[in-house]
Amino acid sequence: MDTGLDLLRQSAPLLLKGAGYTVLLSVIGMGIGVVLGFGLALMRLSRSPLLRWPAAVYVSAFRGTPLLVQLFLIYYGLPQFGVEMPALAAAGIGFSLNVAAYSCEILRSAIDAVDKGQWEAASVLGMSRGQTLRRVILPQAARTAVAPLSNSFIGLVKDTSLAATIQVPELFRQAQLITARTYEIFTMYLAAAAIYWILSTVLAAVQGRLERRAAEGRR
Amino acid sequence: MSAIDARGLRKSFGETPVLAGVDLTVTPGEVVAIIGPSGSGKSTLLRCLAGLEPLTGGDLTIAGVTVGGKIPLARALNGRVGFVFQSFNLFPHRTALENVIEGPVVVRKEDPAKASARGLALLEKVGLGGRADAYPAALSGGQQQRCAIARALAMDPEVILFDEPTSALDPELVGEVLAVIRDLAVEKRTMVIVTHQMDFARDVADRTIFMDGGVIVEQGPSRQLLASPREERTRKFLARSGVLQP
Repeated sequence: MDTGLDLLRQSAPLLLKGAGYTVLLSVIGMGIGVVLGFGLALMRLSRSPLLRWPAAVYVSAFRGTPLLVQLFLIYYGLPQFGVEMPALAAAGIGFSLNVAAYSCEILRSAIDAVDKGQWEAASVLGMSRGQTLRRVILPQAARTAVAPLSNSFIGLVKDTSLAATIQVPELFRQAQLITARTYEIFTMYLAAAAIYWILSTVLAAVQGRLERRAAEGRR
Repeated sequence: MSAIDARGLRKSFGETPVLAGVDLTVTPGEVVAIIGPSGSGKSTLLRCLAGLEPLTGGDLTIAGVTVGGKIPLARALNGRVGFVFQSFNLFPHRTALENVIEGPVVVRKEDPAKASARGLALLEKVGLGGRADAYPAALSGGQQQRCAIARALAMDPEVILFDEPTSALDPELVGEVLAVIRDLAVEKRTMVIVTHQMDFARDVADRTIFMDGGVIVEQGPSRQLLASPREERTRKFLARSGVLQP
């Protein structure tokens, strides 16, 4: 047990550094992903098929293929065409593109779920489509979207462990590296799992808060 | 000039004709009630007048705007035609006052302070003076509908269309909404009201229109139409509604 505890103490800085990358990748992936996803959602709700179709194909492709394969394509595949980038950038792009597809569907269905009467009430006041979206529809859709978006964020935190396969020194990768040196396999992976669990738990608590706040405004 | 001038309005949903050629002229200051069985096309007529549904055919001029083609013109009417929905359709994330000033501030670019002052006066007028900061969910159905009427009034509409404004209300709340509409009639507001409240139509509307099967079957001064209809279909409907002895 002593050696186990010592080992944990020694490897803590590395694990925490890895956890830092995990959080960084999650925040980047979610932040950029939701912005892209919002753009895609607007495209999918557009009246023009020239906007609707590319967005639908994008969503279908990124939801229909494994994230791991997407990461490999970006990091190992693109250099064949002269597009090379650091692993961290490749992972950030991969996660952003993947999150974009999922959050597009979340936001689109949240916008669709707003009662049609809200569009009509705004249009008889003379509000334009853009004004209606901004001032009437999105504030209501945002409330519906909070819970599923938080869920995908929590999912993303765990999925960032896939970045280990393209050498990003995130939490799981650090655990792998320490394991390779010390052979304390169970302890190290358990420690990594514990940190993921703590991160998810904290996020779940934040999610609960956001949901309560979203519900409050309705009164 | 007429507030509403509609010629041969037709509307189909797919293959189903809902309006089969409706002519309607409403003069400024006139209050018109539209009655009829459900499915008779009266709500569709109202929604077409407001530009919420594109017309399949016919010519329509309302509040000085002439409609051509199939594009709904609700937005183009720019608030000059007010619409009060059966289900209120207040914005749930905005307070009563915010609902009322949304159109003036966002569409007409009115100064928010001025709009608020006017909005408060309108809420006062519909008996909601004390509830300006309440969210719709905290208001009763009758209060929500009165707030929705204030929201329509805030745009200074030339015509206000009411689509069964009391049908979604508990019976004890119907009176307070009808009282507000009655006040507007006294002010000589131009209004078209689709309603099932026959007593209200008789008391408030200058003219009552009976629709069935997507056409206007009969129309006339409200008292006359409701007491002694010429058409058999009208007579049957009024008998079923308990207005006439069978």
